[in-house]
Amino acid sequence: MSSKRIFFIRAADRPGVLFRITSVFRRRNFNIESVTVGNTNVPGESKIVILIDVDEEGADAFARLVKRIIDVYEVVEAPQESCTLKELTLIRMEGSEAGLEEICKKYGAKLTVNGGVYIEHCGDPQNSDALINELSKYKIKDISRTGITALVKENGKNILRFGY
Amino acid sequence: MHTSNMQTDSYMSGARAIVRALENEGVDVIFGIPGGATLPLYDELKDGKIRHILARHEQSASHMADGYARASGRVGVCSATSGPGATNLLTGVATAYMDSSPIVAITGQVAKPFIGKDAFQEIDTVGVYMPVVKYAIQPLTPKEIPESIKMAFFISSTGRQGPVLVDVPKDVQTGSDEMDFSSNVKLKGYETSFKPDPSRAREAAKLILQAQRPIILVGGGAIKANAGSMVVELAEILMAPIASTLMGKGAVPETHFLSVGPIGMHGTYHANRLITESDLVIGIGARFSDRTTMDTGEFEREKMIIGLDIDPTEAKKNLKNELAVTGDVKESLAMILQFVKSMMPYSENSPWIRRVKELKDQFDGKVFGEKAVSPLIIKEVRGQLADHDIVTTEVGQTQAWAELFYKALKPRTFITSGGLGTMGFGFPAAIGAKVAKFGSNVVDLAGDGSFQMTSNSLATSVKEGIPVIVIIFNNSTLGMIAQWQRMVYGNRIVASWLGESPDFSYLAKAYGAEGVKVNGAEDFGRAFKEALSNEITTVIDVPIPPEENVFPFVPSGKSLREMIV
Repeated sequence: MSSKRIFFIRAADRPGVLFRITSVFRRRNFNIESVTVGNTNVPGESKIVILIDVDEEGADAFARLVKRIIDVYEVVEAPQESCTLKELTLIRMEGSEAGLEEICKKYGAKLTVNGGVYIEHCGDPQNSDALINELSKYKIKDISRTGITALVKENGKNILRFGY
Repeated sequence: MHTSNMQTDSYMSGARAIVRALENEGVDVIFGIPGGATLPLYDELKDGKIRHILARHEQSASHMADGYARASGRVGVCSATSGPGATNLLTGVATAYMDSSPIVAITGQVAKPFIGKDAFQEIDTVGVYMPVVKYAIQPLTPKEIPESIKMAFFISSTGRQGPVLVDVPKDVQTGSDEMDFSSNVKLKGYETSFKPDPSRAREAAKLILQAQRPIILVGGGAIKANAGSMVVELAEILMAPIASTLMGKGAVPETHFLSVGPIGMHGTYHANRLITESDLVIGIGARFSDRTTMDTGEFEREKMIIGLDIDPTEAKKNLKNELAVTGDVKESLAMILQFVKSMMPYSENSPWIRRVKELKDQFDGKVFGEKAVSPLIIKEVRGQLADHDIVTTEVGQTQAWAELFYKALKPRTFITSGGLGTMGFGFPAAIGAKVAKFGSNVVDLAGDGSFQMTSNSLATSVKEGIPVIVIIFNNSTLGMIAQWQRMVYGNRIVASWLGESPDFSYLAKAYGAEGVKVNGAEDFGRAFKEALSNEITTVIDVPIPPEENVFPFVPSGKSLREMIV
């Protein structure tokens, strides 16, 4: 059954690692919905969080091929509902801030006027979508989204660890 | 007195450090072709102890290194320049990757300031190689070279073996620094030896003892683990037949009374039947590839599978009913043997072993198809070669004939491109194998199509004094393609007819090798005997009827029970 799954990959913080991992997606023709990379508290180690819509068999094949990469230490797979998801969205608006304050308040977004009108939202990606949708009534000049990053919930279910 | 300008023994160029590091690894030979971006390296080879064997095309160089590795078990080394050198070398590296063969490929790269500028002979070698190497390293300072080379050999030769690329920019070769060759490679997250889980081994032993009709399937991993004698021990306790994959040929002597030969698309009739009728498959260093299992659902229907493999990512990869025992194959086997031995051995007269004998007596060595000449040639080759002599194969019908009729008696004596199926592999691989095992005869079983892909290696073989024998099963066609066109594509022959050109005996002579054309099997026997007694590279051209088909044959998508004979 196809569903959204999140992969958490601990890997060496070395050039080429992300390339090798994303090559696996290309090889199997998986479409990555989102990928984020960042350092962790462990020196020399980075964590890659990938959101992907894939069936069980595809997920298994992906995890195997990724685990085979020598610079990859661990691959954990979790269904979306077992994770806490967050995404950062930055928006630059055209014109004045009139009318924007109320929308931002509704979504817990931060409105800044500093030589331009900026909106910053951090939260559930679906809320970001909704926020952008409402802002579309006004003029959006530019927009950047980080893609989701996530953590497995303390009581998350169906967590698969390809650690060996 | 200042010492900063004093040149110590450990102060040297990156190029010299490459040679020194290779010598430290015990490398005695490199197969390659020099180019602009490897000139500094080659300049250092002039004074070093390592023999360089000059190929005529980089693809041949990488196959030679691969053949060397497969025949000896040691890491094979090949080298090419940047750009086209690296892309030519790639096919052989990918071939090694698919068959888990340990080679180290050293490529030159344009100097760092030119990287990414579309410089002359520049390609992103690391980017191109990534999907077909176990690891790729690009040292960016001379100082990184000793560790890079050490790491390359370590990764290539440990765990599930495979090729490693070291891509060295020209200025990293020419630049000098203090070099430290003493560091130990430590790679986080890279485990080389998995201790098999005893509870898994016990579970496997239980399955084995419950089985009524067990069959052993040995793969290339059994050869790499040197597990042959343990496999035989297990088989004799269980009185279970031993089948193999294409890569597993030679893991146990194929003349053993329990050996039934390879299964798969071109497996023997009795092996394919027996594995279909079995209720337990004990896979030993076999990855259950599509060519081996054919239709997987049918393959594992009504049976259990045990899979012993060193690579944890192989566990349950292709089969659902698999109990995977991950770890060094020999250690896993030892554990399982211990459990099995403590229980009752099988009766020597079980219905299963009677069935094995019945099928084997009927079909061992049987040639399906009346006109087939190739099996006779292969049997003649086997008859004249010693146990330790080596055959390599090209890819296509000849490979399938060799799989069926050449009985490998020792590990590392049957060398073939199983995973990638690379035409042109056999001849250069034979040269590499001959370098590794100079005391053995090495024979390439070739088709005329495959041979033409790397026949440039004739020059290497002659000029470097590495005599091998090439037997060309010459049907003037791309034989396997023609067979499929006849059998699967309604006899519509397209682009598979090569014609009667060139004359291979003349081609051989043009290179300074011996070239012989024979008529039929008997004539071949004499020519082959003579070739074996001469210390000269010999090409024997054997005419084969173009309409010859290899049977048994399981078309893709079908199951092993649906053999065409």
